[in-house]
Amino acid sequence: MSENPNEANAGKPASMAKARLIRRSLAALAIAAVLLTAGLMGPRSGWFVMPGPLSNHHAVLGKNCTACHAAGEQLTKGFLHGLREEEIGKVESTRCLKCHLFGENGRLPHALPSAETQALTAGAAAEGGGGGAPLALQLSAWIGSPPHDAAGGTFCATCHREHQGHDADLTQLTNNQCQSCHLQQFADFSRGHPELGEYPYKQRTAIVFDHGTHEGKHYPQKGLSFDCAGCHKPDDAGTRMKTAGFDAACAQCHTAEMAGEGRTGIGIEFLRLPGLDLEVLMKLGHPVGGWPADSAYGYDALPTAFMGLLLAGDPKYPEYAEDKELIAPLDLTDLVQASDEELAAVARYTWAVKRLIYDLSGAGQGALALRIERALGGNADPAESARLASFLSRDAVQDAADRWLRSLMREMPQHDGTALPSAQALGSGQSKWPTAGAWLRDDKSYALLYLSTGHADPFLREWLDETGRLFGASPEAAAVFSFLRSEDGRCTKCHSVDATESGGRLVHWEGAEPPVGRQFTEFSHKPHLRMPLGKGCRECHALNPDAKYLESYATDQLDPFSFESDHRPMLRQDCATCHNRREAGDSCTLCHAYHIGDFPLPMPASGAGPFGAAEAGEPR
Amino acid sequence: MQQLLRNRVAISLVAAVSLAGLYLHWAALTTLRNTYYLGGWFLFILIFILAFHDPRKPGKRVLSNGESRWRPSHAWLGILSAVFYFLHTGLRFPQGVFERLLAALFLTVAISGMVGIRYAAKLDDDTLETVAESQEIPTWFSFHVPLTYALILSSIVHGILAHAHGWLAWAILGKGR
Repeated sequence: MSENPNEANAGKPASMAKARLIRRSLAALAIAAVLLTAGLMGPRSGWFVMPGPLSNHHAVLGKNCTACHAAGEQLTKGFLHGLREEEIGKVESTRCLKCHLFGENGRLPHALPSAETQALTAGAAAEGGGGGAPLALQLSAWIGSPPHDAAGGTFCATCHREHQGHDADLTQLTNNQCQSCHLQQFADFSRGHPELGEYPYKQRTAIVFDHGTHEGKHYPQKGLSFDCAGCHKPDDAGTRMKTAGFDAACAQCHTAEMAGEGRTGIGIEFLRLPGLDLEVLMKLGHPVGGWPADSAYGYDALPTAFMGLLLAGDPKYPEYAEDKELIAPLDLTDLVQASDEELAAVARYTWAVKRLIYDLSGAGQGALALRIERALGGNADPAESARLASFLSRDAVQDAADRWLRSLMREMPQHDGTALPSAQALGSGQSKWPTAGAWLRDDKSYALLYLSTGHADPFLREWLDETGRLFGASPEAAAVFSFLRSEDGRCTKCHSVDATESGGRLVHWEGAEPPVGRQFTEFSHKPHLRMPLGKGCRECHALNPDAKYLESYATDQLDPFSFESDHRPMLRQDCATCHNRREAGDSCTLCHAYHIGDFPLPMPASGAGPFGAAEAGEPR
Repeated sequence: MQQLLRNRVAISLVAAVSLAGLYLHWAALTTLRNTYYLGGWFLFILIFILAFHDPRKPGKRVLSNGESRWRPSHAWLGILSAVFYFLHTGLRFPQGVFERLLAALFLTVAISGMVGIRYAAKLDDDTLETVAESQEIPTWFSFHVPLTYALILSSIVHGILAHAHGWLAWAILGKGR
């Protein structure tokens, strides 16, 4: 270009300049048209029109635009894309959800059911506070809320904008963008963010462990130093702190207790013969056959919790429930005052106990499993019943029968008119089964007792698990669970028990169980572990000696959220000391996740993916 | 340039529209709304007006005497279109091939327009009378206008791709993939 174009062009007629301009304009249009046609129709059309590379996570989609973008049937609505975002947004979001399995509520805010979100919103409204919306949000609110459809469903592309390059972070949002949907808005984490409340102590710990008492009393008594790292260490990712198991953390002091030290009784009563007033029964015409003569010295009339469940599963004893009611107030060792109806009930009950021992002697765990299944009815899990039964030692039962009821094998076929059931007849195929702990026959109390193997005894654990599951559905199961729970608090002294929605009971066997799925708030210990903190862990986790911690684990306290921690709640301002805009950052997404729930990862199908050509009937 | 800056009404109008556009764009970003389509249409209308609002033949626009109102308004609209271009692209150079070509085209037209403002000032001060008599067309103008037409054609294609990308993806790209 010359310094003075007017000089450069001086002397040329206007018509020539005009013609030149028209020629150049036509040439420019022609070149543009050719380039556009070549680009759109050429072999690399996808590369040409793609508005930008996909992020690395979506690179697998290549140039398969239709994997995400609405297809031809959306032409009319699609052309109005900008004005009717919800139309195309719904279609395209559905495609996203083919790979991103956020469940049936995938498009709803936070992937939660509307009712749950509304409840959270109502809770936030009731809580109040927040410090007020910052000016930026107040100004932007004039143009409306984030896009959504009539049902409140959101669109993936509202937050996740693709075609921003390979290394683009599709999850990056500003704090104001996150807050634009929220009722409670605030300036930043240090100004207006809701207090942390009871976090992270909202729910009681699975393992009952009073830190204050252990530090102030038990550890000093043993001459041990109370160090957090003695029991807690980070997981592999450094995110969560794990609690060491029994062997590493508790066994040094509690092994003897597990073995029975300090208990008044030995073992857990599984079977027991009731004491009977044999003389009255015989005299008044209710013979019970052979029975230990010294049983009248007095033993509990009612069956053990295990026997109660097994008698309820006896098909030849349909009167058990009624008989139990009649027998309960009686002293079976003194039946002089008993009515004939009561005596008949005692006799039926006695024969049922004999039949139970007879069955178990003959078929061992096979009979036991069948009775458990029958007692629990439709709620029973056959596999679980078999597992429960597998802990029984048939030899121990046979031995007890030989000692206490010598005529049993002769009497029962005569009384019931049936032969001794065999293990084979009941499908067990084995005459001897492995058992967990030891079985003890107590000839004084005519009881067969189970001796646990110590901590993590499989017999106790299985029975607590299964009877806890059926606690609300079966009174017999509830009785066994309550019995085991009350037995010196063997397991549940340290393992907390929650009520379940179905009325059952859940024993927490593991400490610090990681939450299932993604939570609203996720904290990683890792970046905090190397901080030069004067008080170490207690910089954040200070003990609260005044807390009524153990009351949260009372027998009737089954709500894990009704909890007073033995640690003081953490303060938001303590976090905000570092987590502000200038230092460690205060982005919402630093601590909070958006999609909440337990989401499976998609498994690739052979031949065609979830958006593959096979679905569309076309070769890929 | 001095003439441009003397027009307070134009400055106020352009500033007001730019601020309104900035506000809408920022507010839409904050509330996660999409302004690409609205902003894109506004930008396209601006470019279209810049190219065609003079009913006379293009060759006479700048050099005709008595066009003193058209030149500053054209320049101010050009500045406004640049503001909306940057809003539309989010202050980032596009990453797609076609969009990069389109951006390069817009920037070339915009830069040539700025050169035009500089020349227009010179013409006003020194040689406007002579140029008007000779009816000559400066060299810069000879590609400012043709590229504007190419820009409009490309913008139309860009708009169709943006609005009907799903259909186009299916029609052009989807088959056989």
